[in-house]
Amino acid sequence: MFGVPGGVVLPLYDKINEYGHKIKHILPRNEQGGGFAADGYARVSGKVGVALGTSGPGATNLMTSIANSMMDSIPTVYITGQVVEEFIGTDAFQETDVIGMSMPIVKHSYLVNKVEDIPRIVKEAFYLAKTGRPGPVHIDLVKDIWFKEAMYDKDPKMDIPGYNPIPQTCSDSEIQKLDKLLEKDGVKPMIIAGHGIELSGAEKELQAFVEKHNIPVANTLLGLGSFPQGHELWVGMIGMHGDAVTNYAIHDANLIIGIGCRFDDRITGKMDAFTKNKTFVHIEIDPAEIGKTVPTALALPGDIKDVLTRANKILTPHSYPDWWSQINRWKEKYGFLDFTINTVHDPKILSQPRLVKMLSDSTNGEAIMASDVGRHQMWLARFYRFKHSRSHLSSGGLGSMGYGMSAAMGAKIAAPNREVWTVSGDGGFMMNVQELGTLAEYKIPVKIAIMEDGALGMVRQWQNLLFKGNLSHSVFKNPDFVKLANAFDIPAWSASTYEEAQEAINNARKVDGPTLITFKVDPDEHVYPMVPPNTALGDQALKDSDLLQDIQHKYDEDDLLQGHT
Amino acid sequence: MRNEVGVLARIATRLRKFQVNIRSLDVSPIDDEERFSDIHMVLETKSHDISIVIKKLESLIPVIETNYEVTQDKRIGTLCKL
Repeated sequence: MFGVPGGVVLPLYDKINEYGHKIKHILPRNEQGGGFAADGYARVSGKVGVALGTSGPGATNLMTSIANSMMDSIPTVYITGQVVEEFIGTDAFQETDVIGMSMPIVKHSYLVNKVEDIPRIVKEAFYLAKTGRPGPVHIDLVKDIWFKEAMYDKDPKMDIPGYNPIPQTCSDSEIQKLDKLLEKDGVKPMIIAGHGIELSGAEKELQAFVEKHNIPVANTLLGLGSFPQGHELWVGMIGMHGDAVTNYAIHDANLIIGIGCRFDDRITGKMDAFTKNKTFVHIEIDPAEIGKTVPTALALPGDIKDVLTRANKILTPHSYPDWWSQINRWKEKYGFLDFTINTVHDPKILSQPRLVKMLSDSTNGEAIMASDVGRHQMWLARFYRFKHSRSHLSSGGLGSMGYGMSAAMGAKIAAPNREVWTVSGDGGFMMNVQELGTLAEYKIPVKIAIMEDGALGMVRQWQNLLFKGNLSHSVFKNPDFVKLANAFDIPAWSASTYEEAQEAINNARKVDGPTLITFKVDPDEHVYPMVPPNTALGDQALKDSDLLQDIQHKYDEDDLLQGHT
Repeated sequence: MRNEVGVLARIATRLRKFQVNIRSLDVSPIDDEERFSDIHMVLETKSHDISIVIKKLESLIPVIETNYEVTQDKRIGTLCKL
């Protein structure tokens, strides 16, 4: 549990050490960091992560973490304190309507004002958080109850009659319909494998399904790691900054099988172009996601592991040699997985894709990598070769800067025997820099890699390309990160050459404790491919000149500027 | 739905997210112990298929059961016996 004590939760903290053998408590330096750590813990362990804050600011600081867990369907329980019941509604000190605030960003929430309800509500909260489509559950406890006594019910009866973890499950005959779609003349199928694979634990079933039908499989950002990345049937990451081959293949495909994904705007690009001439099959646990953004010809609701297990028994094998010939030609033409393609940078300054490749090679793809948000996030996703599931942590839906280091902290506690790194931009790192103190105090051996360019990199890229280079408020001055880390007694290195970078990585890996490396990188190295707003995946820009020269005729400038970022 | 404090706020919050307007609303308890209530609503939206929105309502934990009808214009629906 990652918690910060305060006024109304002091009675809880007065008792918590009595349960130290059962509850491992970590004191983060800010509730948001604690929330992200709980989120990271849950992503790696598959268990429920817990974060706690006091009333008022403690609770409001948790809100970004709660929203993050909601957007990415992470099983978490967030506990907050509330003022004594008779003060609720009086604008008492540190009173906020946190149930009202968290309502749109939780799977469910409870205001607890009866001590005898605590066992049932805690049991329900953990059950709701981890079953069905996972998500955050918020428990707000009024202060009074800590002073009351009740009989402890070890196994209380849950009372959630409206809750069905898997609201719909498709029949075998519905699954059978997929055969006809896969057998059609001229069919060019693609699988989009999302986060739901990992959440369902369906990695093996997915691989068996893909191999049986020889269908190219692309991952979403959060789906990375759910399918072996060295596999010949893997074609990379789809999306705004996905692999060129992947985006062309999805654009050209005419049968899309979405598995555990929600077809959000980051992967579809311009929606009418994405859906044109395509048939969609959607395997998904949440029926409300089916048909939400794309028209679905065949809906296969249910738990993914169950649906794929049955599909693997029912369906007949297929193969698509012509379609694969086309994809393999694209792989060759567009330099699939080549980190030197689609990047132009000052050769005297470090290149982020190459640094990510160095990290990948140095750790042999075995590490857990927690990303922050920005350009480095995209390069990490594309050029770190993840060997295992539940190893890539990224704030996908919310895109919350400041996520990486705290999430890595939770990940390391969940997997103490695995190597854990966080790769962060300097902007995102500074948003939760205070958690260096937590890493240092608890000696949590997270390896921090900062891509230091003195800029909000992704903002800068957009300003460079779409706002005529007007770098409005996206440039800033950094502290000396080595001195900053040293102030926390954390060993640190700065690297300006690849030799220094490799030496720093090697040194960091030898240290049994947290370390920090700051890499001096080029602020004007842009992430490509880039699917500009309101643009089809097939019209992705592969280099600056694509975007800058073609902006007049290939892309509509109004669309680019007014489109969803 | 469960008859408890805040349940209407949960429903309204979700409808607001999808920019759905509540044209009419009626709520009343349906059992002697007043543990559950019926809610009857007529909903309209300019931008979404209302059946998707109702699926999202169904995922609210206090919602026990839904029945709904959609008019020919898929943006208007009647939700009854929540």
